Amino acid sequence: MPNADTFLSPIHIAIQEPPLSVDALWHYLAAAEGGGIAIFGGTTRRVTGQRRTTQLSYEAHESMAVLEMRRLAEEAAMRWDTLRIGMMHRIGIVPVSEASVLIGVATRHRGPAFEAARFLIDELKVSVPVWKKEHFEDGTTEWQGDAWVR
Amino acid sequence: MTVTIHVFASLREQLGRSSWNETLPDGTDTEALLRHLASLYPEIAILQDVIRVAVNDRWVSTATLLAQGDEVALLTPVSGG
Repeated sequence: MPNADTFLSPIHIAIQEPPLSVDALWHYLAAAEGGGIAIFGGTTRRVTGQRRTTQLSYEAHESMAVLEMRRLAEEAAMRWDTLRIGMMHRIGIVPVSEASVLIGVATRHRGPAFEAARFLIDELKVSVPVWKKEHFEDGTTEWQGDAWVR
Repeated sequence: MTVTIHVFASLREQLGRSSWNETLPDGTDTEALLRHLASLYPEIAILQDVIRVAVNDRWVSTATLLAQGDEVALLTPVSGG
């Protein structure tokens, strides 16, 4: 994992095609030597409503997504006095059950770790420019977020 | 002035390209640009009400004056995570 890059709470941000490593994120967070770590993983779901998904593919406005994730992490670091934050999002193909996103927060005590992680994943879904495309078992595909055009 | 337009995901697929240059009168802002693009591209017109604009990797929520060389992203509702 890269070096710490902010003074109060080091932040690691990544957008990448290879699978995300919970181990690597854990080690990065554990190095903060705090009292609690919360890691949230978002994974590709098999069944949505009546439809069965085979995989998702993700696309990002990468330069902006990295900046936006960092902005959110900096906000969380200030609100919850975190020790370390890691946010990683995958792009390209993500098969069922694999993680598309990992959010990790290290804190002195457990409460703020959960709260900050929840804030970060909720806000990521609103403001980070990433899009997912569902690939269904019947061969059809569908960009998510497109419901407003139909 | 010339700015570069970037599109992603469904809008990129519908338009068949991910970026292009637009030459605009000086003083054009982001709202005027969006109206201009909507008049040129039906794919953008149909999404005009939901597209959000970012300039040089930052969200802009109100009409923002554009400058030569700006990178303008037209972003449909995001669906990451």
